[in-house]
Amino acid sequence: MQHGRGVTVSNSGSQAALRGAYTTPLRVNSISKTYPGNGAATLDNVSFELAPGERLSLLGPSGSGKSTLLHIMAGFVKPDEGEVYVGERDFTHVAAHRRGIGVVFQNLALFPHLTVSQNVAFGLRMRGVDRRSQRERVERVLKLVNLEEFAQRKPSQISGGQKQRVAFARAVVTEPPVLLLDEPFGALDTRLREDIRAEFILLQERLGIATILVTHDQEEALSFGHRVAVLNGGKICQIASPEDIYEAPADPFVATFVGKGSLMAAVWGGRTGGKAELRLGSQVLRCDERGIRGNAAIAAGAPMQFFVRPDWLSLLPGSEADRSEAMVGRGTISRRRFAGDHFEYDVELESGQTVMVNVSPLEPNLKLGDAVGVELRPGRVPCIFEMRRVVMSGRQS
Amino acid sequence: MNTTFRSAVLLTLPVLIFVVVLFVLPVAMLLLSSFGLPDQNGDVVPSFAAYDGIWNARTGKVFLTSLAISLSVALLTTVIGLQFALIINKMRPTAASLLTVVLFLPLATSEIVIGYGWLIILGRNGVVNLALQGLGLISAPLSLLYSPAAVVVGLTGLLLPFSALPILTSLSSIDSNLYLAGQSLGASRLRMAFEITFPLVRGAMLSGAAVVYALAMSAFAIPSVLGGQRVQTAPLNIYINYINLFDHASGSAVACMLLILVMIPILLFARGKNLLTGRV
Repeated sequence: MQHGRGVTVSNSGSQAALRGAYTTPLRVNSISKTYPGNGAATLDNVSFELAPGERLSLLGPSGSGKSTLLHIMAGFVKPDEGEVYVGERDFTHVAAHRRGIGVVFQNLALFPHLTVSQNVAFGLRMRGVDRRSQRERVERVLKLVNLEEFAQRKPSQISGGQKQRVAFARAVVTEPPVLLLDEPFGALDTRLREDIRAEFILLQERLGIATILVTHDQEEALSFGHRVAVLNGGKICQIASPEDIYEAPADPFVATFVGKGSLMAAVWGGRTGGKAELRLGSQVLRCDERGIRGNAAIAAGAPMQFFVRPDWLSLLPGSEADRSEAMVGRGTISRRRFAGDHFEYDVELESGQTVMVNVSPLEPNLKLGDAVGVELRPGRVPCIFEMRRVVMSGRQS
Repeated sequence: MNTTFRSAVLLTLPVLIFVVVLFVLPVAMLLLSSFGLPDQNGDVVPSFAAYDGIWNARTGKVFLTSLAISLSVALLTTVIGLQFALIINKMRPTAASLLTVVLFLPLATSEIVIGYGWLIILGRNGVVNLALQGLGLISAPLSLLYSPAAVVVGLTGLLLPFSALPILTSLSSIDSNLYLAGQSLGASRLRMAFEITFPLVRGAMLSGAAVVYALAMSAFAIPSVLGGQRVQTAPLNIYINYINLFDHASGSAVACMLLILVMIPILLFARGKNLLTGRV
């Protein structure tokens, strides 16, 4: 969040930035929505707040309710329960066309019969802005997105990346308090997608408009947002900084949906001196107790889940395995994959479970079938989930 | 370039032959015969006599009647067709396809049958007159048949699909996100109807109207059944010239005039299409 603000205030030109700096631009309070005939709730008691100038990524698999949530914020869909506040006002029952929230759609939804500048001017015209200021504001925003030369073109006559910028310009020209982006980068190829995303972030910071990006792409969510909200089965599983989402996922769903990692069955051994003791098969592992999710007292012998990312682990030659204090287990290499800057190994442990480990290409090469020990790197905190939580937040597919 | 051109010619050859033999040749012969027919010796003396012969108030009235009827039909089918398309577009798929089939029924039926159907409805003892009398709105039956209005009603029913279908096609191809975008930019439903829907179906409305106009101008069965002797449209006049008066030259001259009147709006439309639909 901190990174956004400094830039916002330094931009003196935008009223939106100033207006946004003092109040919460958007607050969603206990939103629930169930579609008839759909059994399970599409959204179940969802709440969050947006800080001025903040970028929030709303990340979830398809069917997680993220699009419904966006439609509720934009006013296209009414929630069954809960409220949407924009600034100080309760917008829950305000029609979409009176909300003034900017939206960039997945397919961009540019008006095919209007030119670029007419598309951008549409919102101003609907608000009854006089012609002269219409022209000035359209010119200013087209200059901002570098499209002045294309003002008189039709959407069919410009490239995909240019269309993205027109859609952005059209959404921000009215200086909305909040901007909603509904997977607008999805249709582009990877390289262009990254460029456009970087450009959007730059523009967003210049304008200081609080922005929500809805996406199913975890990499996009992590790199775009000051914070990321992970949505699954209509609930927010975790809302935190991208770093925290990656390093300290709140539940097995977040752990496995964002980034790579291995989720393994373990048995609770107890807690001593700031360490949690877990048994993975015959191996006893003592790891940092900060990795424990949930505060409930856990009975010894309770089934648990243990989560590690491949870059939290390292491999030892089988002969040296006994010397390590932080062994996860011994096993043999069952798969090896080159991923550019590292090798990705799958190690089949003696317990029968498989764990993924990243190894630098500089380290000695290992072959399939080699006996190795898997060790936790120092300072890493593996996640320890209670099985009960797994059932609650499991995937609903 | 050369091979592309040759293969293009080869590929279009069947259609080209079809069009030349069945359309261009007959029309050319028609055009020629309006400038004089061969006499007993087989000599053709070119003359404008046929055109002089039809250059009078009577033929003028025939064309005015045709124009008035066709333009009314084009206008009515466009208005009703738009309504139809808007309704079908909002329906669930099964109901929509059912209504589309109903819309096409007139085309699956002989025009004569439809014409006689209207006779039953609009006749002195027809459904409309009986209903109006039953309601006490009129005391004596109205004569609804054998008027330009009856012809307009009949042709509108018959030609409605030619207008409704293109409108429906373009309406259903409008991305529904455009309306969400419109809403998010502050447009009410009414504004969106004028700012988004109308501009995007305008091209289809005009192309439908052009087709309906052309078909109405050249319609024969419905005007002859519902118009009787009192309403003489251009095709009826051609028929009378050819069959009743054996005046082939005058018939051809009227036919040529009709052809020009039908072509004008279609050519205008073809030229303006790009501008009107906003597509390039």
